[in-house]
Amino acid sequence: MASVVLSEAEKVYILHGVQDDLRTDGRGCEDYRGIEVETDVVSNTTGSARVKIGHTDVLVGVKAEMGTPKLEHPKEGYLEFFVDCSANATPEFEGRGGEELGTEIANMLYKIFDNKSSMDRESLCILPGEHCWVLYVDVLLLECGGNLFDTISIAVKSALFNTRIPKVRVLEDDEGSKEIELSDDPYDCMRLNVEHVPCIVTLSRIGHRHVVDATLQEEACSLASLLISVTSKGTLTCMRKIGKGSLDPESIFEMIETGKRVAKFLHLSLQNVLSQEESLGKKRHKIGFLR
Amino acid sequence: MVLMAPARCCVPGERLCSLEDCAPGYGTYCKHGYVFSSLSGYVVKRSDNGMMPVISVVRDTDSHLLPDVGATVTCKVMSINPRFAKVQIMYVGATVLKNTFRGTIRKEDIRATEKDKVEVYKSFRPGDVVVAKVISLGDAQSNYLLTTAENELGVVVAHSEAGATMVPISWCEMQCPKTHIKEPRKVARVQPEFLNVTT
Amino acid sequence: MPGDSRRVRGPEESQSPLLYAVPAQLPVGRTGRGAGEPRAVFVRAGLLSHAAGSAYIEAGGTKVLCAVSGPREWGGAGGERRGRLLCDLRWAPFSRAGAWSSSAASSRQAGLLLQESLEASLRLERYPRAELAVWALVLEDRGSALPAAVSCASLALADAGVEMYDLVVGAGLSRGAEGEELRLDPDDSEEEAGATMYLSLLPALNQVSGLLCSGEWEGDTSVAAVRMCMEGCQRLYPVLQQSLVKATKRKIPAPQPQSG
Repeated sequence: MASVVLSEAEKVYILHGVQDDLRTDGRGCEDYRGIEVETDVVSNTTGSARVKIGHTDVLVGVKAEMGTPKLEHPKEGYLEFFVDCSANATPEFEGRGGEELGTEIANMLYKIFDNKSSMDRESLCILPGEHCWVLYVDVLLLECGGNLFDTISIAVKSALFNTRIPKVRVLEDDEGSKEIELSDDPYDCMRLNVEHVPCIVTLSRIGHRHVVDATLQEEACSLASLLISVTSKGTLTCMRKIGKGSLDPESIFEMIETGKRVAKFLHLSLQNVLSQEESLGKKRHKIGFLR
Repeated sequence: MVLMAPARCCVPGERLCSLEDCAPGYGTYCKHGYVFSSLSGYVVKRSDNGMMPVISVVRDTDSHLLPDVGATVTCKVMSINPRFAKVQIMYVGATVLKNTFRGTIRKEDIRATEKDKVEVYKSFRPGDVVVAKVISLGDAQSNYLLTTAENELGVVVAHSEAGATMVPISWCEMQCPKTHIKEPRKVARVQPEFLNVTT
Repeated sequence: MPGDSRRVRGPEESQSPLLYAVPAQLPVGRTGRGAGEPRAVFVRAGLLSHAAGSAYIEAGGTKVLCAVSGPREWGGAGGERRGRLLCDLRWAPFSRAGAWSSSAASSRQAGLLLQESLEASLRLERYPRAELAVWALVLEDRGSALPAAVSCASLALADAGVEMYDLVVGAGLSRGAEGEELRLDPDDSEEEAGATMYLSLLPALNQVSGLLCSGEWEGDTSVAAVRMCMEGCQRLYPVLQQSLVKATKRKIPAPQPQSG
């Protein structure tokens, strides 16, 4: 991950601030920075979203293509994730530098979508055993300002909400050969149910307390972090500890509690924003990349 | 020095004693007012007369000794260059290293006097065994930086063009016993026990 | 492991007959041992002659071998005063049940997980500009390979004489469908069935150095699972201690009492 070099005095300053529940930008330990979400930014995709939290900027594009279902699950479609850490985010990602981080994030995304309830994969099936929808979710990291996992999970959820998969029917001829028919109306599409898609909350341990949504400077002070993926109902789907340090078992339990609390609020506000954006329809003023 | 017998074996993370009883030595660390072991080995308690006993954990193979700043090392010259000589560090003090480390002796660190008139070709040649001292661990681009700018440091073993081991004559020359040709080197002062004084 | 280029993989459309097999009805509970009981473990340290340190662990059918080399030279990046730890965890091609596969991607991630779990326990600031390499090989995987690999690697590092704060002990846990009991140290059929959790602990300092879980955990089940894993680690710790003491006595002669 991109890193900043901090002096000992700066680290002590951040540490003391966190102990008093006051971070350098005035937030409390459980507050997120302002999150900006915009969907449908790229017109060539089936669904897209752009999320900006502070200096972290992520663009997600979803493309739905037809493919053959996996042999172990013939009645389900599936998702494929690819995370590209481009050199725009930080010069460290030039060439193959960002590949390791990209694979780590992609693996985390695979894990959180691994269970049955996160995404209804049977709705992606066209013909059991032969055709299904494969959703290629491509994440592009434009700017790295700390807290990548949360931003990417919010962006993936918004992009999946925005995805409009065309409705297809498979017709069988008398001879037995199959034909795929696409409906004539370009606006006749299927939406995905993203109610149970989880969001990742990163809790970084600084001193004796933990903070949510750490900036790059705070990440440099933190030796260990816990990533928790929680659904809107409060179910924990995945948990992982990252970082060089170790965590006290008691603080892990506290972090799980905080993570569930924060995630509930996050899901609620995200759902509100997405439905609000949807309701504006064509009248919505597109902001895009120029501000 | 009194040694506690029999020596008991310990594992990393085992609590040895409290800080009030003993001072921590090699292979231990302190936490919460107690001394813990950080190696798997034998617990050894040494008490010098009057001073607080020092508790340490001993493994007889000290091969994890790394060259530290100020340590005297024995190395072999790999290649030379008008600006510096590249060496391979083989011994730290008297212990042989399992993995060798690379070092550099810069032109200005070869001698203490007349540093600007030094010629690397007249001080070292590839294949010489040199005793040097570590001045820096180096950074990303460079290896360990060594110096021979003392009387006791410099070439100890060198071979002449003819192939014989040369004998040191002065601080700046060595002579081949076969051909009697003198070759310039930065020679280390020979220890008095090795000098054969013939009257 | 480099891919075997001589192997004939069969036609593209070939499928394993196991896919069409009728799944056997697994017994609901666990047979042979309690839910909170780990499998019998055999551990030995200091068995490879060329490695600085080595260890072998067998838990049920899972067999893991680990070797450590170093500290060796490493050009530190920009004045690093801390050493570096490199971990590599691989599965032998014949270790898993099912078709042969060389999944290089999963082993890269497993190496990173191993590194995160071990780094918290090592005193890397005592080895500036040096690098420690840990190679773990899973010879047979019958469930809980990652926790076994972590315990094995930590034992190998201690056997190599690397300074550390404490040994790292790993434990795994699985839970079947919703509402079923938690099972410590699952074997391979239990692991695939449902949600899994992996935890690595520093027992003497009581600090968690690695945690990974997947599946769905409602309410407080995740907390109960973490506690159960920690108990499992504490149970395994004395076994690792004993084998390390035996290996040290074998490797290093006791210091002779001096007088003076």
